[in-house]
Amino acid sequence: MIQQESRLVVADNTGAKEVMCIKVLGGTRRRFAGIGDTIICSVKSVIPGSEVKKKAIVRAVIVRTKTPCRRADGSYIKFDSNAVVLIDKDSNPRGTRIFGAVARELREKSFTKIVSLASEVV
Amino acid sequence: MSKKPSPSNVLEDIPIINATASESQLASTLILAKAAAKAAAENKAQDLILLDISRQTSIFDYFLIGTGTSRRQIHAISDEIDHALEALGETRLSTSGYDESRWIVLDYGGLIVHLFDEETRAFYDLEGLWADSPPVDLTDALRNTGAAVLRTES
Repeated sequence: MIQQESRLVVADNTGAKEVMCIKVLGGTRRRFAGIGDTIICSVKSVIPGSEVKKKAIVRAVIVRTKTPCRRADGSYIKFDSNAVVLIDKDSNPRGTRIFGAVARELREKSFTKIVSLASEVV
Repeated sequence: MSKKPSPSNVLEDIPIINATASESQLASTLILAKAAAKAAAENKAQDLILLDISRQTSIFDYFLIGTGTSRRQIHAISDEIDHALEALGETRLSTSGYDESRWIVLDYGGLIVHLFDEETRAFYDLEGLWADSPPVDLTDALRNTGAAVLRTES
């Protein structure tokens, strides 16, 4: 359950380390976002020499949440961290590698490119 | 009454049934992958690679990776693969990247087809990421198409 002001870890090799959600996309009064939803973020911290600059406004898709996400079979999946992957306006990942596990809900939401780059899918 | 199998027999049968099901599923996905590779080669896709990633990840079986030289060609390759697999009774689950045509992904369940332009393929380097996966030999599937390409060039 990600909302405005939520801080999230960046799980790719773009160089951004932490971002803050500044808008949840999809709906006029939409408050919360979950796995597979797109949000607008402000970059809060980066690694030195990064392509992405601090204070940049970026689009990102949520790949892990601490809030449990329900699956069709009745099971729930939750992670230890809230994490995003930065994407461009065409939904291509901006980084070339994805770190850590991502949820398979991304495939159902047509983020197959991110799932293909991820080393682990749960 | 005597026809009912004993519980021990039932338990013994289950793994065998599952193993056969997954192997036959892999074999049918491989047939689809080779058909897709043939369709791509007929449309002059370059550097075709079929990777068997079933041992690396549980949600995909095969990656077919190819390069097109132009937006129009990448569109043509993806359309032809779609037609070829439709003829085999396979429906696409999803597609992404068709409009901007730098990286088109066609999702057929076990088989994922990645079509890149040259620059994007080098940038994402999917073969490098899945380097542990053994490439599948495509010479049989591409034999006739290769001859056709040679004739066109000569």
